Amino acid sequence: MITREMVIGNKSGLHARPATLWVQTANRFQSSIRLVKGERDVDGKSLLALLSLGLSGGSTFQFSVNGPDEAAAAEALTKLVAELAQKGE
Amino acid sequence: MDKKRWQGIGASSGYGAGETWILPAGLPVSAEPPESTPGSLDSESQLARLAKAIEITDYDLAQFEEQVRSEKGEEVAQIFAAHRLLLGDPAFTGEMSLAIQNKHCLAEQAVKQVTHEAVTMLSALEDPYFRERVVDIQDVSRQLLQHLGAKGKEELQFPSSGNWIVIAEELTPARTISLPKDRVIAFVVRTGGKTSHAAILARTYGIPAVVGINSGWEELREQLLVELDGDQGWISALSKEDWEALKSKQTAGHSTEQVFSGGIPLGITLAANIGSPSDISLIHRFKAQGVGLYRTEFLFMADALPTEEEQVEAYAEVIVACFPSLTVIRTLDIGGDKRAPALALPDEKNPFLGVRALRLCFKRPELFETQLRAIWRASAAGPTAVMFPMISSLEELVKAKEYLEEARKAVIRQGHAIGSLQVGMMIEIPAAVWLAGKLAKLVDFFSIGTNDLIQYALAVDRENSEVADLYQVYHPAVLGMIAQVARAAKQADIWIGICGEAGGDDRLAPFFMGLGIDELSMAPGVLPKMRTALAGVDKNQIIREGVVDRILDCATAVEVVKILEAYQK
Repeated sequence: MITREMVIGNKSGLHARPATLWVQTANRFQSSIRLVKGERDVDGKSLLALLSLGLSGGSTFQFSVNGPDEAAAAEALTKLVAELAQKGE
Repeated sequence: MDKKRWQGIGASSGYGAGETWILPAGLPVSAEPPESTPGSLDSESQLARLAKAIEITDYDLAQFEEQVRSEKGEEVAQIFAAHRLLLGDPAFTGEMSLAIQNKHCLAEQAVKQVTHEAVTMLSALEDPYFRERVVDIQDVSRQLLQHLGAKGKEELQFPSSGNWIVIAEELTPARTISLPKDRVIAFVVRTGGKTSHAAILARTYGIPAVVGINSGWEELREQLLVELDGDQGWISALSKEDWEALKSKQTAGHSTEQVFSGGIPLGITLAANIGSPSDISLIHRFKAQGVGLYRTEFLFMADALPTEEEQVEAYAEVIVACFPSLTVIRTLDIGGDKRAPALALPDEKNPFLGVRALRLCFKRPELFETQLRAIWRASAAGPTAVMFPMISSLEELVKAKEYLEEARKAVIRQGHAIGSLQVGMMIEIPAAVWLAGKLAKLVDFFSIGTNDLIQYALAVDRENSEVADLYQVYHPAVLGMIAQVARAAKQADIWIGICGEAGGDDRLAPFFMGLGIDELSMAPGVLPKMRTALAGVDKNQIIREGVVDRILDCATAVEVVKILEAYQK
């Protein structure tokens, strides 16, 4: 299992389009993906669950990936968050 | 008599006036969860019903997604991609299935219950971006309920003829896209904000919209005739007499925009920026005098690269629609923030300073040659110009023109007809401003791309919120560069246009007029506003009072704005 700590670097947070991109990316992998924010621990492949965390710009969260392709999945998701931050979306 | 007036949030630019049509309320989806559940229902059959509704809804959404992608590109299509994700979401439809299994309830009840929970949860979030997603959830649920019912896909009873202002309690993406957009004058929506997906779609399609009307809604609903301003966010009742007077001023057609715009002002061509042939209806609707920027990127954003034939068709369609006005086609501007999957471009550390636009074309000549041949062939259809983006040196312009000449010969060899083609370039790199006098000798026109020019001149990435306040169109250095380019163009006797966002900035109308800018090209929906602004400027006064020189003499943007405001009607 791989666990990473992330900061949302884009202004408007992991809402609509960024969240959609996250789930689309997560769905490419077999591994199970969990997102943890404070007390809450949700399915990282669920758009609704992701939105429910209300991850605004600047907030932090952890995610963990568990499965056969966990390394690639962790890499892809980390890269996505970095790209979103870069584009400022 | 005082006119009744309502205030909301301007969510999509432009003016509209006309008769109202009330969008019927959709099925309630987020009512309190049903109280009693008939516990004896066969869950298998309910699960099957739910699965079927999900499948059909997904099919509909896939069609919306495809339509929007082909008309407006990937960004907006994502709205519907997100809705499709919800259909397969364990926390959404997954929960609905669980509810059916555990409670043996009707599929409808499961949908309503889960929707209610999701809406309650999202409504409690602080961030408005997240709260606005409630509408998206409800949109998907409504479609599910529609398909669970006997009615099937929702048919909106939009009047079969005429243009209408749509009045809606709330507006969902699916309903927005289902309306005949060329016959919607404007949207008035009680709920929502600027970042709602319906607002984004309205902006994308150039339809003015006012949203978030807090008071007086019931009274507003009863109005038969209204006018509204999608910039300032007001709506005003229109008496029958006013409406008749507005209509009688029209010379032709039934577009209400024309009423407002007055005549075509003082020798400045007002053209449209468009992204695909699907925007042609907007050109006509907003009475654009041709196209000043035809972005060709959309063709290259699909999974496969467009063939020469496909390009000829996409260009010629617009050229024919604009006839006898000019269509300015910009060659491929991929790179920077615009990606094209089919080109499989490597990631760059600094894409705005990297292999972008013309630079990419020089590295991938087959792309460039195909596009230039297609443009030559399309030029047989009517007045056409080609424009090269991202030029920083004279050599690049010379090289691009060589490619163009080769393409011309190739097309003639193949026996195709060609028309006469104007050749121009964008001015968007500060180096090109410095060289404008030299570059002007080699082209028929300049078009200033202000977005990139500002970004490169002020060293500001405007997508980066940390520095966004430094991105200033009224910066004296920016206006100084625009003036320098305009004067170089006059000197060389070529025409000069502006196709960046500043081109549609009504505040700058006195400046552009004083400089003698020949053409302003902007998003179609902004044309009426700009037309009005230009009509209110007294060119003689601007020249007499040396307004341009006074602006160029300013040290700060604040000083510039003060002068501009003094000459606004």
